[in-house]
Amino acid sequence: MGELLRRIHYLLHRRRLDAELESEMEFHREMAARQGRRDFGSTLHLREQAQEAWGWTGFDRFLQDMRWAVRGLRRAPGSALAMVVLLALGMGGVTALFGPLYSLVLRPLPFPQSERLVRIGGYLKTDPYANHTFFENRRSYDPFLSGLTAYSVRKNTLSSGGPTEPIDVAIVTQEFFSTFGVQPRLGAGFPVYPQLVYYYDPSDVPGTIVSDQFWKTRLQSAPDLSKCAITLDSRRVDVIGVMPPTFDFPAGVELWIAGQLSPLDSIQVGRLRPGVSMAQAHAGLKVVESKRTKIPGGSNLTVESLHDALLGDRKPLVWILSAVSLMFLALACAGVANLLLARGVRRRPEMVVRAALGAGRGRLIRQLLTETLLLAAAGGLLGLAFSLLARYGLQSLIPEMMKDAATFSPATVALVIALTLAVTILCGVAPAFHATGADLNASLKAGSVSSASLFRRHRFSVHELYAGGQLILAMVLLISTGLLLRSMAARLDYSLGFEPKNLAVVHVALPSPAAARATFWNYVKQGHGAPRSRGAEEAWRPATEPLEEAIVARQEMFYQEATRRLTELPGVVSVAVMDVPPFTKDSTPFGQGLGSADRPADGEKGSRRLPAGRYREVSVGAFRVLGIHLLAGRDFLPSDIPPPDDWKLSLYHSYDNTPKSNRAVIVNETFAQRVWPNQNPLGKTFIAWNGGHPATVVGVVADVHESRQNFTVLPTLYEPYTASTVFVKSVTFVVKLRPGANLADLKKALPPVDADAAPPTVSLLQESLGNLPVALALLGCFSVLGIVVAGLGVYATATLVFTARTRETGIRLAIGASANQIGRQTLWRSLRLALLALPVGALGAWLLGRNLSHWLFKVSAADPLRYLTSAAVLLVIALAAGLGPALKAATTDPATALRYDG
Amino acid sequence: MLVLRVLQSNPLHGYAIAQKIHVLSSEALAVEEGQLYPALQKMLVKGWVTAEWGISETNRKVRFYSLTPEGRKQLESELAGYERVTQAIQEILRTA
Repeated sequence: MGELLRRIHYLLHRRRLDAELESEMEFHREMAARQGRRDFGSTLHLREQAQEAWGWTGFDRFLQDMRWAVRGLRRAPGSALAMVVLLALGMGGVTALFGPLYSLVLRPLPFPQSERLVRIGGYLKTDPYANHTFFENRRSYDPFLSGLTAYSVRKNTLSSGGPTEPIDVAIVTQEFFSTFGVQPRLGAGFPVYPQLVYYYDPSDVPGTIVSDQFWKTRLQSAPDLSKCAITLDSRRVDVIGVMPPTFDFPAGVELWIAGQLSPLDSIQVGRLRPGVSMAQAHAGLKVVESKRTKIPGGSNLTVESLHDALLGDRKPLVWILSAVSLMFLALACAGVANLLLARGVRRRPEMVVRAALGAGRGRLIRQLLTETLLLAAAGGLLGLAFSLLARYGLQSLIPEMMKDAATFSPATVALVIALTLAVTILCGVAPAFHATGADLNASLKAGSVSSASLFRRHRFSVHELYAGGQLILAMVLLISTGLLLRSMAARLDYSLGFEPKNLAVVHVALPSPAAARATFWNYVKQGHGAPRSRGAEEAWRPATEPLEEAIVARQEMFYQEATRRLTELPGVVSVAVMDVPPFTKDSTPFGQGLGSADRPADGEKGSRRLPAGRYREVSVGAFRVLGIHLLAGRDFLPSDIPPPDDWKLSLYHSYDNTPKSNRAVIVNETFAQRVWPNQNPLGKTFIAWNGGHPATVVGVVADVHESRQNFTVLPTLYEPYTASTVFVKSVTFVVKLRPGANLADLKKALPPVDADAAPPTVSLLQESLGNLPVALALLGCFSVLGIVVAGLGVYATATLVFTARTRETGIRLAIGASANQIGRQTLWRSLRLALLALPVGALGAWLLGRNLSHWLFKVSAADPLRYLTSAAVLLVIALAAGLGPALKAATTDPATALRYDG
Repeated sequence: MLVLRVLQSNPLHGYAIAQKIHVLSSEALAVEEGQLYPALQKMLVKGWVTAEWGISETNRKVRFYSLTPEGRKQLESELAGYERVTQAIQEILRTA
């Protein structure tokens, strides 16, 4: 340690210490001279030798090289700037994408042994008691899973500890936290019951567990949880635990309640037992399911890693963008290397002279590498600035991905440093070796410092290898970004499936007589959930029915009134309801089990399970308001809305085997194609999820994209919306506005809501669409820049080859070669390069495209036209780049050329 | 080792060190400047010697080097090592 400090001391005071050493040696020399000795060597050399003991010689040389490099680069500011900007663009792109790559893909989920967490999808028994199903699953899945839980996210209204507002609540089974392996940091987890317990309403639950953030803001960090309670949907709920701040699942949820899960939107998450692989669990669970459902091999149960399931289509997107940015960086490196090679050729005289003065090859290489390092470091710094710009673009392309990707984390800085070093090696080494090549002395001896010997006639030079590499990369880049751009433009233009322009989304809590609601749920509670036999229901019905009707009547009245008032506004074209409009926040990223077996009503044998998908409720005319095309059949009619009786609590029960009326449903294109490929879906009948109601398909609508991240459209089932049920607590209107209509008017027009309900929210759908054009422009910029860089590479190479052979050209012209021949030959050199490089690039693009194809939207990855046009563009560029030098070569004046001394 | 040894009794400046080694070895050993000063600098960095400015016998400002406790330790261990080696060589020369 002491030695290190002393070394640093010597570093900091080396000027003064050097002077001291000098005077000391001077004294020695004088004394020696007195003794008659004259052979004291060069004091400077001796001093340098002595200084090496300080251990900073390398550092000193580095500083010296740096100063030299700055001076050298200043002499050619144009090419220096070009190199720095190129590297900055390359490194900026990689740096900007590193954030989402790390935080989304590389970093494991923040749970202990998170790689064991799996999502179990596909299967859902037609049991309205979802909790019962999950309870059974937990038992039968036990050999494979050490934990199993289910959750769904619901919107409730929070009215304590701050402004009243809607809040997302995760309804979970009691095993939720133990499955994830995270326990509350304050208070206890949910009690795990040996048998099944039903909860219907917030007031029935043993309490809620809150997030750390919630505890700090809404509960003022109260240390004593026993006194803590919140008001949720006008009911008091005790707080029994606080989660650690790192626990954020499902993303953004701040309250967890063990409660009654809806079979519609529950997601099962399991933890694999140690030693059980994903495939083993999948096979095992399928056997369990097949036995239980008695459909041999018919179970569509899926097991996938929770991390992958959460990422969905974003994972390939991040990988692809990262690959594109790395490719661009490689392209930029090749470009810079080419420019450095050119510099090396120009600086050959300098190198020759320095070598002649005694500089070793290692020393020269070292100096050239320092120069490259300086360039790379400048590029890295500027790249950090560029990465901010790129982040802006990415933000609009993939907003949720950029959310927790920090701009300047230590990891980012480390990445930039690593990139700088990598770039230095990639760009610097070959040019440095090349510039200090073995024939330095030969060049000197030849009397003229010519670089002609660097270019042999038939072999490819280093320049050409770099230029070829650039062309290959540019080809891959052009094709893949072209595909991405086309796919994104396609999405932007026509493929959303709906018309977002001038669409407003109005979310209102439905009012209900609070007293009636409380009493009603009290009855339900006393019955330990809903009655499970006809006898129980008959005893129970006289008390609950009037209450249920009061609630429903109030809700229905409000809904009708709100619809009427909104429709009458001058700025409004039309109004409808869609429970979850596209591009609004959807807390469940997965498809839900649409549930039930195909009903073999029309003579088909056997039954199949419906695929996982989405379930949406829409009012009559909603498709027209949203601009969703009806492809076949008809829209809903008012007569399709099930009568209020159909929606009563009792109808959720499977014990009831009386024939039920057919309900009209509309499905999307994907649903129709998946379930009835090559058949007419209209009139098909199947059992929907809800307690045995046969559903008849009356219409097919176009696919609607619900987010920018998941490009695969899920099978979707539409049912008519009704406010006449106790299970609905709010309504979401979609409103088509006239251009320039005022959003505030919508809010004012609504009838008053309950005092303890969250105020209505109004937003424009277009705002949630994100700014795709910026992202498109960014990607476009990268591919155009890629082409430009590749073109410059070819140009630089052709120019160099021509310059190097000026004298040869002169001689050939002098002995009778025609200008035409010379020009053709020079051009051929560039063209030969392009012709060799492009097929390789096409192959690379094809390999990449195969991985892209899953992700591409309405664009084929193996589009031959795209390959041909890309190749043509690059060929033209290579030709154009080669043409200048070729013309110059052809018009060389032999006299000048012979005198040329380059 | 030799430099450390000649510094053991009293501080000396660079030239004096060279002279002393030259004289003590009956002019058999001559320390070149090219070896002496790098060695001295190395010892300074290692902390075996310290340097102080003083006035030489010819009335010039000059650096006097003196041993530090660490330097003494280093000298002892080097001497011990040297002794072992010479002894071993002696043994071989005598018995072989």
